[in-house]
Amino acid sequence: MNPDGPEITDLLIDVDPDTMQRRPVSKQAVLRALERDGMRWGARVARSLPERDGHLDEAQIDALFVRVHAEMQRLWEEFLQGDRMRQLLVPLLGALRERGHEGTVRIVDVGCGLGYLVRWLTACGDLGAGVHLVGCDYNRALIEAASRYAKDEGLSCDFRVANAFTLEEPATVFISTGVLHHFRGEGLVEFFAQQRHAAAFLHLDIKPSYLAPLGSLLFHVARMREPVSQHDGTQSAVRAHPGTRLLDAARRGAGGLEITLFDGDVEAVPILRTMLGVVGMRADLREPFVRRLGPNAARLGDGA
Amino acid sequence: MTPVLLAVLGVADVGFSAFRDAAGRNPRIEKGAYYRRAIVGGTLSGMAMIALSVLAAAALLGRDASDVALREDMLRAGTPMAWIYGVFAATVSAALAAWAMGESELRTLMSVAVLGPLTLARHALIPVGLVAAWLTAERPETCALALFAVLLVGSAERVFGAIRARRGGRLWPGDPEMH
Repeated sequence: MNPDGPEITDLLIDVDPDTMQRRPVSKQAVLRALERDGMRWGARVARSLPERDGHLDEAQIDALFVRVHAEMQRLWEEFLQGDRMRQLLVPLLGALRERGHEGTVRIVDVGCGLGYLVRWLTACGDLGAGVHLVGCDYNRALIEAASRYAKDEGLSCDFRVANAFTLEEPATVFISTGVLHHFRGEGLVEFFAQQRHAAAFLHLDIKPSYLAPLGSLLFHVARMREPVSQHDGTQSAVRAHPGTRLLDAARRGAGGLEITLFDGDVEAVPILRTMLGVVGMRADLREPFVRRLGPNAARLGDGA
Repeated sequence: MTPVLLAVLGVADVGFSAFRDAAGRNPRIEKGAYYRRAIVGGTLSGMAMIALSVLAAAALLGRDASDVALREDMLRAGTPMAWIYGVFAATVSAALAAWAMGESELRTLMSVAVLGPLTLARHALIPVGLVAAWLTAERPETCALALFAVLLVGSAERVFGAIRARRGGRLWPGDPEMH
C-alpha cells in the first residue's frame, strides 16, 4: 500500500465546499486515481462499485457510506473513543469555566460522519450543562442518518451539512476522530490554521507504528464486512501522520495556541495506545487543563 | 462428557456468530437490547442446530441398536474436536473477561492482539477440528455426522447475514430499522 495514496471513500463523493452541492463522480476517474497511486487492492474493490451511465450511483454510494461508517462506529466503540475524548474534554471544559468563559461552550466535531462522538458525548452527560455539541460533515447522507439516530434516542445535539470552520456561530472547541490523516501536506497546516481563533481543539487519530498497518489489516478484515471498510481502515493506518508531523503542522497553522500531543510517545511494542491526540488551547487554559487531567497529565507532551 | 461439551461449544459459537452478525450494523448509542436479542436469538438457533445434530446421530445409531462400535467411534472422533474447540473457546473467554474488566489500554491490547486475530483464526480452526475428527474416525457415518454438525454451526453467521439482508436489515423480532 502507498502511504501517499488515497482511501477509496476519499474519491467517491465530490462536494463543492462553498455551495455544498454534490457533483457527479466518474467511476473511471476513481479507478484511474487509485491505479495512478499503485493502489491495486483499492482499484480491485472500486471496480465493483455501483455505477449508472459511467458515474457512481449516488443513492447506492450513500447507502455504502452509511454501512461503512456504521462498521467504523463499531470499531470506535470497541476502542472506547468516546471515553478517550471525554477524558480530555471534561478537564478542558473545567479549565474554560475556571478562566471565566461564560455562556454556552460550542463543541464542533469536524467530519463527524454518523456523529458517533457527538451522540456518545451527549448521551454520557458528563460534559454538564451549557454545552452544545454540533457535528459537521460534507456528506448529506451521513448527516441525515446522524440526525435521525439522535432524534430516535432523544439526544439534544445538532448535525449540519456544512464546513465546520464557517458556521454562523463559531466553535469554542473543535474536535475530531480519525480525520487528521485525510489532510495531506499544506492541507494539514490549513486545517489547523482554520482553528486558530478557537479556544481549543482536540483531535484524535491513528498512531502510526511499525505494527499499525498489519494490526489494522488483521483487525479490519476480522471486524468489517464491506471490502471498502477493510481497505480504507488498513490504508488509514498506513498513511497516519507521525506525531512530529502533526505537531509541526499544528504549530505552523495555529501558532497562537499552545499545542501538544496526547499519547504521542512512541512505544517499543505499540499496541497499548493505538491513538494519539493533538491538543491545542489558549495559553491561559493550559495550567488548569493539566491540573484537571490528573494522572492523565503524564500522557501529555511538553507543549509549545 | 464429550458430546455435552461439543453441544455447549456449538451453542455458544452460534450465539457469538449472532453477535458478530449484529455488530457494526446498528449505529445507535444504546444497543444493549439489540445485542441481547441477537445473542438470545443466536443461542436458541444454536440449540436448534445442536438438536438437529443429535437427531442425525440418533438416526444413525438407531439403524442398528446393537452397533456399539459406531457409538464408540463417534465418541472417539469427538474427543479431538472437543479439545481443539475447547481450548479456542477458553482462550476467547479469557480475553473477553480481560476486555470486560480492563481499562482502555487492556481492552485495546485484548482487541488488537487477541480477539481480532482469534476471530480470523476461527475460520481456520473449524475445518481443523473437522479434519481431526475425520482422522480419528473409522466409520463413514461418523465422518458424515461431524461434517453435518460443523457445517450447521460454522455457517450460522453467513446464514444470519443472508436472512437479515432479505429482511431489510432486521433479523430478530424487535430489531430497529437500520439505515
